[in-house]
Amino acid sequence: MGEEPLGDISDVKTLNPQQLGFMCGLEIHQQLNTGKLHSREKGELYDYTIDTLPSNLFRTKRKLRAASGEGGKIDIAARFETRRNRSFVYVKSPNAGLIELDDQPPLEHDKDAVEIALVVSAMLNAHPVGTLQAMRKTVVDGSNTSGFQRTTLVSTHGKLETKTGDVGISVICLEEDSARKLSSELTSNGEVVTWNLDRLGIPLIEIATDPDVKNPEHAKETAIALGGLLRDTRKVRRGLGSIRQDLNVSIACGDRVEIKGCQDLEWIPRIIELEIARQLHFYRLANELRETIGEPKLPPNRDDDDEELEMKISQKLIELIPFEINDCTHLLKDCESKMIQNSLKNNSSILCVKLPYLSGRLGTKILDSEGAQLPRLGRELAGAAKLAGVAGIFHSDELPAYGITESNVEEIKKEVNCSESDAFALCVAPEWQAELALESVVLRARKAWQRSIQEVRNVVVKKGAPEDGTTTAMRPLPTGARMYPETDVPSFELTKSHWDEISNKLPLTQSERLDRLTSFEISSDQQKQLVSRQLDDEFFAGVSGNLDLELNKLPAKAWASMLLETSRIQIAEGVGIDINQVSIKMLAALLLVRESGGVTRDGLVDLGINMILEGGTNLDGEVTNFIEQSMKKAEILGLNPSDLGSIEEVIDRILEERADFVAERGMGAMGPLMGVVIKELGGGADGKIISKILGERLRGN
Amino acid sequence: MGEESQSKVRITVNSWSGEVEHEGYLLHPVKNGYITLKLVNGYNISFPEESIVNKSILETIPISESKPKETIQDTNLPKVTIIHTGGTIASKVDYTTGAVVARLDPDELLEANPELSTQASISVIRLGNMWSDDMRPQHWNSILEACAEAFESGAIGVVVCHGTDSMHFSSSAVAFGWAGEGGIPPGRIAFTGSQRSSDRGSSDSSENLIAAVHWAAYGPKVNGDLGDSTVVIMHDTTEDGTCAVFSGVGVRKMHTSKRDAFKPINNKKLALIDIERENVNIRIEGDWPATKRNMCKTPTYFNCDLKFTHIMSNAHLESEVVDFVNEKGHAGIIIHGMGLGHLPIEDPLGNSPENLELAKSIKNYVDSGGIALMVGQCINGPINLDVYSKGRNQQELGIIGHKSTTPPDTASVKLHWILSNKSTDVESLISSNLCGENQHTLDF
Repeated sequence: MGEEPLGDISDVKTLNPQQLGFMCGLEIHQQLNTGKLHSREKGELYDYTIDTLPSNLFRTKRKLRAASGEGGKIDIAARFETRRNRSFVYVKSPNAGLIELDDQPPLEHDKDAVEIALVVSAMLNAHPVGTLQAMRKTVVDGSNTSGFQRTTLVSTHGKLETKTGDVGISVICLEEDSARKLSSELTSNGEVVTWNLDRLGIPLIEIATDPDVKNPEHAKETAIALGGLLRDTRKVRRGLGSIRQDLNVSIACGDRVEIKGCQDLEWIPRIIELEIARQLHFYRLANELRETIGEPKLPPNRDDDDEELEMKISQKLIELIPFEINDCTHLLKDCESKMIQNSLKNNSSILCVKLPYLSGRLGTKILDSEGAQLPRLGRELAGAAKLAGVAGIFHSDELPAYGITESNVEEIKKEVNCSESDAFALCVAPEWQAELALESVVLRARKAWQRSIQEVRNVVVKKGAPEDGTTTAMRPLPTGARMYPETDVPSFELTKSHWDEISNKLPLTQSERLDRLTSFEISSDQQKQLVSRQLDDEFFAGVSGNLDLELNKLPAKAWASMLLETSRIQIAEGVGIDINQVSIKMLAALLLVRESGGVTRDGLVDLGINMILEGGTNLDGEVTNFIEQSMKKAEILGLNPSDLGSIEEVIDRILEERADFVAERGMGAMGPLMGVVIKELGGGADGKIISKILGERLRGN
Repeated sequence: MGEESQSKVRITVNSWSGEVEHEGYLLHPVKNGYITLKLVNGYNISFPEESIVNKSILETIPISESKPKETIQDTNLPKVTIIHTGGTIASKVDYTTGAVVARLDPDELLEANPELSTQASISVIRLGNMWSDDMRPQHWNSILEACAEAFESGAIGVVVCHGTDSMHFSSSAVAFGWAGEGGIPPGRIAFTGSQRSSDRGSSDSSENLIAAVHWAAYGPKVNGDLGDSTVVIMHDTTEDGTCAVFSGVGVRKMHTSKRDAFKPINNKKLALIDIERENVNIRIEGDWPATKRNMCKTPTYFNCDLKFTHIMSNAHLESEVVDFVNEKGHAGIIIHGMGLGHLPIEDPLGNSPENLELAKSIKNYVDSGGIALMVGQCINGPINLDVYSKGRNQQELGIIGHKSTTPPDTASVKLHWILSNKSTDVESLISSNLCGENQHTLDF
């Protein structure tokens, strides 16, 4: 038998993870920067909102049904979902086709994505599987048009080293990302959810760790380490939402929950601490409640649970907390609550269930020492009701309030026959929905007498950030029963030579990349920027003369500046093409033209634009020729540097013509005169040189 | 399948990066020479047998056949018989092998589609479990026999669960079998299938099946002339919620994979069926007059000794094909002609003698008693061999099918039925409208 868990849940600092038998693992989902996994559509995102959706996009409305999973079992989550009568509208983004619409069989795995997953596996010292086989993982929330997510196990048994200790990697998988929810609307006939198909099918690497995370801070450290490692591949998508972390958390007296929506790594420790507190609270509440029905307390460790006894208690609870619906619409038809009045106008009913023994145990909103809502059963019951698509419930511990008066409460208590110790819960919604919601409430209430439930929870988010780090229940934890083979996609073997090739060519880490740059004469800021903007490979190739056989080694400082400044994007914009079409090779060639005095600093962008407009973007085998042509073109366009003598001549003439202006303004004439001189000299003069000479002359005046 | 126990094993594998242990349930291997386990997390994992260093059986547990819940059926509801032929519609996936197995039992069907038990009292006839592309005329006869058995035992309607690939051939065959001689079948016959396997949440199978059972139980009385002696019921569009009822002799699969693959050909949809939760509602398109036909008690069948050949008219068509068919004594050639029904049989530039050979071969075939039936490879629209001189020449060769609006595949089935049951006047029977297949006016 374990020891009784210690600590005060209103002050999480008093909770000692070790004493509480804390177990924690992470699941990281990282989008890859490739095409979609099982269609050859592009991996692009279109940031539509429900209000800005172009009206010409094709939409289709679908439903999902629970299907028998492997072994004939219908997954709990799937069954619950079917009862909610949700329908889904799928909006076909430009990068979605019949495969995304589930109207065409999928194609084989994207080769690049498989490659990246294997690279990550090798980086984490994981063991690859012998055959890569796509599986279908049942998902019935509508986020996948097919009703399942395709996922392929790539490797197992890896290891991540962190300062706090090693974290085992249990699995690395390659899976399809889901569609993006645009809106959810409640109608009298169920919920209608609208989805954008842009993200559906973008490859994700899923990395699941063993429960080796030692404490809440270590979870954050692990997430940071895994994120860095993934970025080291240089093949992952970046930016908001491109990486998602799920936390698996349990303490000995509670049970495993999976927490989703922890996008901000800073919040991870706090979210875990609050989950520890929540599980502890419900363990203690269960023991308090078990006393009221004359049952022994739960042991402090779930491993010691007496299954037979728990079965007996859950049977007993079905009798003690029956699911009996009472229609209380008539009692509240004149009540002052605006929300109730509006709902009644829309043909809603007000249904009520009695919750025996729970008076005073549902709780009201109280904050902990750091401002987070303390766990309370009432909130969990409301969460259970919301699964049926209703806005929430009213329960007796928080009434009278919200326009429901003391006398309303008394009447309801009389109607449903509440004793002193009984609580009740009200739900205002269309009758079928309120019924479903209250059934869910009763089922959840019965669980309060037992070990807390294995479930998926969601971080409560307000305006895009966690509200206070607390979570709400989303669905029961899915089981392995929801997976079966994807027979439409052929499985394929991983050969030893392929694996060896990958293992022998692992990407450099961030610090290895920085080390590689220290021998060059560029500033440390430039070094950091080259690495963080992922331009260091190009830099390295340029200074080592490896960009092209015809290209000489480039000067480090000038090349670094060229890569980091905006010339490339300006040329691309000037031509009207994608930045990637302006090759690094062309940039290097233009730099050589400039370094050899063929074009001015300011003329380089114009020269690049003109060269592409006339000769295209392809430089293969043409570099020497390109450089020669560029020199000639710069001369024709007047973009080559004027010689110093002629610059001085022009400046002197202009100063003479505008002697009065110069006398009046002194150094203040500098700006306006720069413009005049540049206009006269055209693109052929270097601004820096003009400014230097003009400055000297003005100071001389 | 067939195994009565499942083994939980622990294997030590020499993976490409060293030895590693896995625990899971032994499955049917993903391919020969491999060992496949189902891990606790649900993934299947496979390794070549030679990489297994050690394997120990941890426990062997009996597989409990999950028996479907027995559904007590309401015998006051209309009696509908489901004839199972195969296809994804009435099947489930055997998750260990990935194979598709039939859902044979009414209880299983009702468990997967509880709505059915509020629609009808269901019984099931299992004909077998085959891909519809493997079907031959003898299987059309089996479906006809099964329908007769169902009606004899009191069914008010029949639902044929069928693979979609050749469904419109079978629906045509069953229609001619019951109504080709001018009668109507004793009850409604609805064919249905699914385009997305029923293992997935997004499958169209449930709605299609519910709609078909609803039609079988509550549809309008069979008219016969509307082409409704059999109907095909499938998704109306790629959306869920509405199924379309197509004439069994005026429909064709027109897409390899979409939910709304079935389209009416030279015909219109007979009705739409809306499904919203328990509510199923039929919307008839246009008039549905009372029938002028008599009920047919026993169907007519197809002579399976007769052979037929389909040829596609195009730039590669050679006369040898026709000669070969002639030599083998095939009863008919169904020519899928270009445009209004044309063949490459002329040589205007004097450099395509093969065209003239083709004309000769067809003439020979017809002269030796074969039937050459023209249908349209455009699928939609009438055959008309009067518009161009080419067509008139083809008529002279003895090609029939002029003015027919019978959809091409239905026309081939019709020819087979005519030759099985009527020995004379094939040409006039082809031009007549036996059961709604040859609509003389096209409105659409």
